[in-house]
Amino acid sequence: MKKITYLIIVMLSLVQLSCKKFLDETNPNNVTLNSYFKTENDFNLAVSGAYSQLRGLYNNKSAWTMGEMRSDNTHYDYKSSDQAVATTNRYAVADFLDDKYNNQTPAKWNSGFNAVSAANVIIDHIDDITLSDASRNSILGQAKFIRALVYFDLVRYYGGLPIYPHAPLSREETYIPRSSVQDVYNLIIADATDAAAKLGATTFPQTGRATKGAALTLLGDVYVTTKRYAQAEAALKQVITMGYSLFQNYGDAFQLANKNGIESVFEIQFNTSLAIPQANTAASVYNFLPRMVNTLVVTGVSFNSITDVGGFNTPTQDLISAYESGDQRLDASIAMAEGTFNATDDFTATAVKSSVGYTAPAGKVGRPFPKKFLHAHAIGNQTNDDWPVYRYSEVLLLLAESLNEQGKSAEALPYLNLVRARAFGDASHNITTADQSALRATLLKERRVELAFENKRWLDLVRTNNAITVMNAFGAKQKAQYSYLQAGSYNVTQDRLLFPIPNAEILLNDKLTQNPGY
Amino acid sequence: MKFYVPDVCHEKHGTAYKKILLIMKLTIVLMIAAFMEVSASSYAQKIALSTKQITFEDLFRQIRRQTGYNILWDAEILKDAKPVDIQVTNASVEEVLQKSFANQPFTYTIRQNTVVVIRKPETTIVVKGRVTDINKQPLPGVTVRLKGSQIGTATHSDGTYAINITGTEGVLSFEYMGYTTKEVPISGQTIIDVQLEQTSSQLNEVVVAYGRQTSRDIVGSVAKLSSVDIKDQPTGTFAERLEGKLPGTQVAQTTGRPGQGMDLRIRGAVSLSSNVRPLVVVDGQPMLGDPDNINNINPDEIESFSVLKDASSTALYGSRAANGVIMITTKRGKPGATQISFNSYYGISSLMRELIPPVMNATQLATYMKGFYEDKIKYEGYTGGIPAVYQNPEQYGAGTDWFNVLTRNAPVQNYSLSITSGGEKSSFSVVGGYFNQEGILKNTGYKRFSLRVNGDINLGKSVKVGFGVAPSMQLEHNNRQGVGFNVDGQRAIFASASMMPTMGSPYNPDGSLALGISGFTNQFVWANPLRQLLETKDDANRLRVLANVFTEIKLVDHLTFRTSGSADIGNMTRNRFIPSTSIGGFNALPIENPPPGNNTALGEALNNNDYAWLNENTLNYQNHFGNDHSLQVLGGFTLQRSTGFASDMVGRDFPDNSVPYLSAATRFTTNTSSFNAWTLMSFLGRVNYSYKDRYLLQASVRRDGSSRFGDNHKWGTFPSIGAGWVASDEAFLKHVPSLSLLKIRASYGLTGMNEIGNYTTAASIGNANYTFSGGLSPGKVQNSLSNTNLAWERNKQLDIGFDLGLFDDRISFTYDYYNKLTSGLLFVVPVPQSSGFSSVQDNLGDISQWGHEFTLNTKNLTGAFKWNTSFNISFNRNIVKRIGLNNISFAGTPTTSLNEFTDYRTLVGKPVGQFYGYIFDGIFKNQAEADAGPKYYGTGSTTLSQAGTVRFKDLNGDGKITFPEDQTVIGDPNPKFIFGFSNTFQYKNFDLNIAMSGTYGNKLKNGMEESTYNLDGVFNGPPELLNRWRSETDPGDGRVARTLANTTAAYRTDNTLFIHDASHLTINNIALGYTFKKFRTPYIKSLRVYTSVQNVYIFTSYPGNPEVSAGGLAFVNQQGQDLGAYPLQRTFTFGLNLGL
Repeated sequence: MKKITYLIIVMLSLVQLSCKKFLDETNPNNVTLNSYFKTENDFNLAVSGAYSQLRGLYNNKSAWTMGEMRSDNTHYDYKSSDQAVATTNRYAVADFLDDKYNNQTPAKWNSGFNAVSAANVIIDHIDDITLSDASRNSILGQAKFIRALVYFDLVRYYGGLPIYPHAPLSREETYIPRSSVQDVYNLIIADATDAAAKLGATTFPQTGRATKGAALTLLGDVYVTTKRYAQAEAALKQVITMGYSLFQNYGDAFQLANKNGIESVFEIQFNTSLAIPQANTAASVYNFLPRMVNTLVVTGVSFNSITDVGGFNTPTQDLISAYESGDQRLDASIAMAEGTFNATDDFTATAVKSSVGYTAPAGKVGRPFPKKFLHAHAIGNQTNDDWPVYRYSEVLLLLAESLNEQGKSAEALPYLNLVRARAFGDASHNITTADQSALRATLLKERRVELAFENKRWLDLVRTNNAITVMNAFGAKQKAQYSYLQAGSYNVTQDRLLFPIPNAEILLNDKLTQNPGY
Repeated sequence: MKFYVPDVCHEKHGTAYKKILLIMKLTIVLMIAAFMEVSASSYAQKIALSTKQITFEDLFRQIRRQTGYNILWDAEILKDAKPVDIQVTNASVEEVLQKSFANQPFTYTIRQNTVVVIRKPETTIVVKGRVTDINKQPLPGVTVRLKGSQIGTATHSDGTYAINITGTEGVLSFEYMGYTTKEVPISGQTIIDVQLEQTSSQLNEVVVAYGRQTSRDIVGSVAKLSSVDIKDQPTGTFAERLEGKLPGTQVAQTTGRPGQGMDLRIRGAVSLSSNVRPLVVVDGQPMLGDPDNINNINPDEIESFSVLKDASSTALYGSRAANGVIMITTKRGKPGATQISFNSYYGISSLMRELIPPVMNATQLATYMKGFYEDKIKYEGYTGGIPAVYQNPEQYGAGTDWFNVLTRNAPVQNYSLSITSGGEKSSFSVVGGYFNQEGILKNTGYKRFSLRVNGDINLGKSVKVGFGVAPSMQLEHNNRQGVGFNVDGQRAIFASASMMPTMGSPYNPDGSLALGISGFTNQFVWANPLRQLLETKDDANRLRVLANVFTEIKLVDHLTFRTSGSADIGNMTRNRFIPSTSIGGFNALPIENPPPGNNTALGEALNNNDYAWLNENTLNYQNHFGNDHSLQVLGGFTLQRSTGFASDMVGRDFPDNSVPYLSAATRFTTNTSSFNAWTLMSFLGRVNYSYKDRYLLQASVRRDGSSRFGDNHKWGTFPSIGAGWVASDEAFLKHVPSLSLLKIRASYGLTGMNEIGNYTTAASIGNANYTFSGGLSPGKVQNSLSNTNLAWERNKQLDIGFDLGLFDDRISFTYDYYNKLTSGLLFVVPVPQSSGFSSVQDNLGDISQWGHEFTLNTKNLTGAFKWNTSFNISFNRNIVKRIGLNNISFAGTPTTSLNEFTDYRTLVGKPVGQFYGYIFDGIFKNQAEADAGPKYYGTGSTTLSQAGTVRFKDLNGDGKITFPEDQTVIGDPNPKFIFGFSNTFQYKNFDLNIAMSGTYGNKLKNGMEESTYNLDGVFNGPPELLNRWRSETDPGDGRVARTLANTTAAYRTDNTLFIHDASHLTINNIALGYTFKKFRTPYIKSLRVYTSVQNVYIFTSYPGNPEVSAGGLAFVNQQGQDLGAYPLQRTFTFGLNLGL
């Protein structure tokens, strides 16, 4: 008996000793934060991871729903039998009927902040290990560029945003109030400036990483948006010395072979040919085609886009009309899918035609779609196109705008005309007026056609205070054309210039306030 | 001459050798005796003797001298001889020997002129008889033993026994668990019939956590069910037979998928986002009550169930006990005769068609569509005309009955052979089974091969070793749910039969299988569901081995040490192939030879390897002090680790459909493998004390440490206390003759819940790949927030109850009240996504639960015609007290942003998972009504209401129907009460069992109706749609709105129209049996044949299976949604129980 008691005591004490170890199961499938950021490679992987979060911001249905469909550039193919929540909510954004319950607008907020958090984690831990100056600058420069880019995107859609001093480590740290728009811009400018200082000069061919040129372009865009035109000019003028130039043909800028090319300042990378394919799906051309049982005739690949992929971001006649005669960008940007709609509003394509001077033959309709994103791919709705964030032509237009706004209108013309001469093939359509307000209007229209479908239009209208007039006028035309539009649609007011903070965020974080009107 | 042929099988193993020797000896003796008969007469010399107290040595000398016979003897034999008195004249040798050998322990043989003195052969008699209870019901398996010897046997299934007794003296003892042992002196009798009395019907032994207790000693709420009570039901899994049998336990057939589909919930257990399935403990091995975990058990292996409900009975399972515990005990060998029994049934299952709501036939649907276009022309200015396919509806006749096309009458068969054998030193039980159920959906089915071997070996007086090994193989064909091929689920294969155009056909005109159903303008196209069923291969094969071994050592008197090791090894391979001709479904036509992409065939190879081990060590002290004090103390220490490895590979772009394996795939969309593990370390203790067997006290505690919780809260302590008072034993109640038992119980304790993921406390970094310069650039990103404070969900539970027995327990009644407060609910708390994260596992939320449970068992008739009734009813309630941080209501997942179409909510102040929506208030019959009534706005700013559109109740009275102002709670999926009612009848050789169960007051949302009541002419629907609003002069039945484009979405927002009362009464099973009593052949010991009907009928007003629940019962926040499930089957069976 005694022996047994001793034995048990010994056993129990052994057990007690190993208690802690026995109950310590670590996740073998994922690294934990505590054991990460020990080597330079950890940081490099985290930087790649942060870039991948940008895909959520740009390769997301909310990106074109809010950036392009909200504007006069695109609309949607109405399908009465599809009353799915996602579909009707997307319609609502285009029609200015969206409310705080809309399930299409939170995605931009959510994915944007995912990228902010990914950048924050890197910045929080950068001093955990000693890195060479070159590595440290590269890592921090990229992280800050990403953070600035995201905050700049979000602040224009949602207004003042929560600014996280560091990536939260616990639930308690997630509840942060909104900062003022001004504070957000201060952060963006600080980050973009820091990024421009830390990042290396652009070298060609580019890799797809953020460069000094990208950071300065971002900074220039921020300054133009915040109407600090002199600073914008200073930043952008650095960019034009960095070796960027325009491709000879507008369409070349979007060719797969020209990814990260001479005209590219920053783009979101995709590649379907990798062992782990990185496909563009949520912003692929399939979303922008009419709903088809088979897309073969249009895309060269059989795919059924009826259920929820197709029928959005349809170029409007208003946009097509905005292209001047002789502008090669129309043909490069928009094509016509020719065919018939059936009783359930699904499309059968028989041909793809140029949009230039298009008239539909009898019994058929031409349905415009953004051709600039249609290139060779193997699998339906898995395209290989990078998403352009900044192209050099935008640098030129921003620079022109910053000069014009400073009253240096004549100085602006060469930059604008670089873009136009490429678009028309010669200098015959160059702008010569030095009238500031005429040039202002010209620049806005030039941006519309040059940057069509790149999710710039709605922000341009808001930035230039044109959104209310332009969109109300556009809405009147739309309502006259489409009987399905509700009477209350296109009632564009000041409140409509910002989107609602996602309702779930307001509910979960009582420090947040909702935008007016929602 | 009669030869005795001994039955070796009846003897215990240890004695077999002796018996063989005995047989040999007897044979020699008999042969010698045969010779002797011939030869003895040849020497006829006579003897004369007159002497007293002569020794045998002297006697033999006298005989030799007088007769010349030689006498041989062994001095050893004569050692015990007593001197004899003998007086003979002119006697033969034999006469002298017979006289003198009488009452001596030896005898003689004579061969020629030699007498050999030999030991006397032992005389053997066979004692036979029948053991019955006081109702003269045979008791099988009663141990019959000759006291103080190794001789024993057991009664057969008809209660008879036969035992060989040496000599004619001795005492037979009859022992049977739960009955008073009876001892009967043989006194030369050869037929001894015995009636055994139950010690008390309330004194049965019940398996409880870490041991057994008699019912009388239990202070908590424990329900017991013996396998006998659920026999005759042709179901593959035991869970299906429990419906209505266990008070407080809700069992629902949420789907008819063969081999799956039963879900259990004890006392209406609720949690917010965690699984609420009970813990199932099979022979001491705890596992979560997931159908995948328990369906491997052949019901014929099971001896008994106990359901532990209150804290005092469950607290020994500490952190896993919050949702109750089901203890399953499998059959073990008992000392006694070898028993072989064979159980088998064969049945035919068919669709319970009455549970399928009718849909429009082809003529009706084409008529509907014709009207749809007529209205489109009339009201919408549509100029396309009525499509040709709808211009002549009658041409289609009745069309295709898709339910018929997809279903069949399917056989179910079961064979199970069990052998139990036992002796003093060891006993064994072996049960082998084969179950094969073909599904009523074509080309679906389930097979199970199972074996269980349990053995117990006594190594000496104080050491006992036992083991159990149960391998099983389950083969599921096309039953699993998965992406791209679902036999059940919303708009999946079976649900599609309600929605697909009845004008279509599964066959091409040439008789071949069509690719899909298309060509009916505006109706969605579908993949051909029949072809999908027939062509798809989805085989999930599971191999499971449960094994345990234990040693019990009696250290000293009253103190026993037990150590056990268990292993649970599970392996599942899932091999799937969906050919391109079956890819698709709702709104997607398959393509015969598709280009690379998502229309190509899909192949998947999935592997799960799970391994768990458990080591438990307990010390048990049991003693009585004086006459009145009884003490039992249990202490223990356990360790458990569970690991799982999973790999999954999905391939696409098969060049064609000829090779179904991944070697033919040219693109892989999934290739993953992962490993996970959890550990649990526990200390446990329990003290039971009783005074005068009538004041009972129990205290227990378990301390659990789990790898799943944060560093700050790895350990949790779960104490409980319970007390009982057997009032009927008190002097003042003793003289109440009608009162046989009155026991009052109360318990209080704390249990926990740990059903969360394995590594949720640490902030993890996951893969997030990117690409630079066209090459892959692996990336990583933090994808979860850490929570080092994560702790156990805690349940404080009070239970008060009493047990009452009246009129010699002909009426027994049990009542329990419980009140449970669950706090610190494990909850995936949503966090603001501006943090970069969406949620974190935390302890935020409180739910209060309470309920009443009543059980009544009566013996209504006890004569030749016997009738027993068992009835139980349980009332469970729960109220959410707090959710997350801000009490924000949520739907399926906390992060779902709520809109008009989120149909259920968990709200503070209400039970979990309320249905939510508008209140249907008819149809605007005309424009005047629409102008005057509340107008629907949805989320827009323009009203969509007009004549013929749906009318909802305007809750805030602002004249507008808007979200969320005018939505409210529109139904509660929690039943007001659940009940079970079973009756057994017996008359002569016939027995009849009727089992019924049901629920009352629970609502069910028919999510199918969101599709079938879609007015857009894209789905088929119920014939009622023909009565829709057509015009102000033809407003229809006032329930179905018009088909005007843009106004129809309102009609299928969540509203009371889709909420139905799911109260029901199910006749689960009726079984009629006949027991044969006499057999011509000795090889058959018992035989019973029976016929039964499973799922006899479901009385309900619900249009469908009222027990369906898309999330099963496992997760409470999405219960009670009918999204179309594998249909239920009614099964007619013939079966037999044969004892050999």
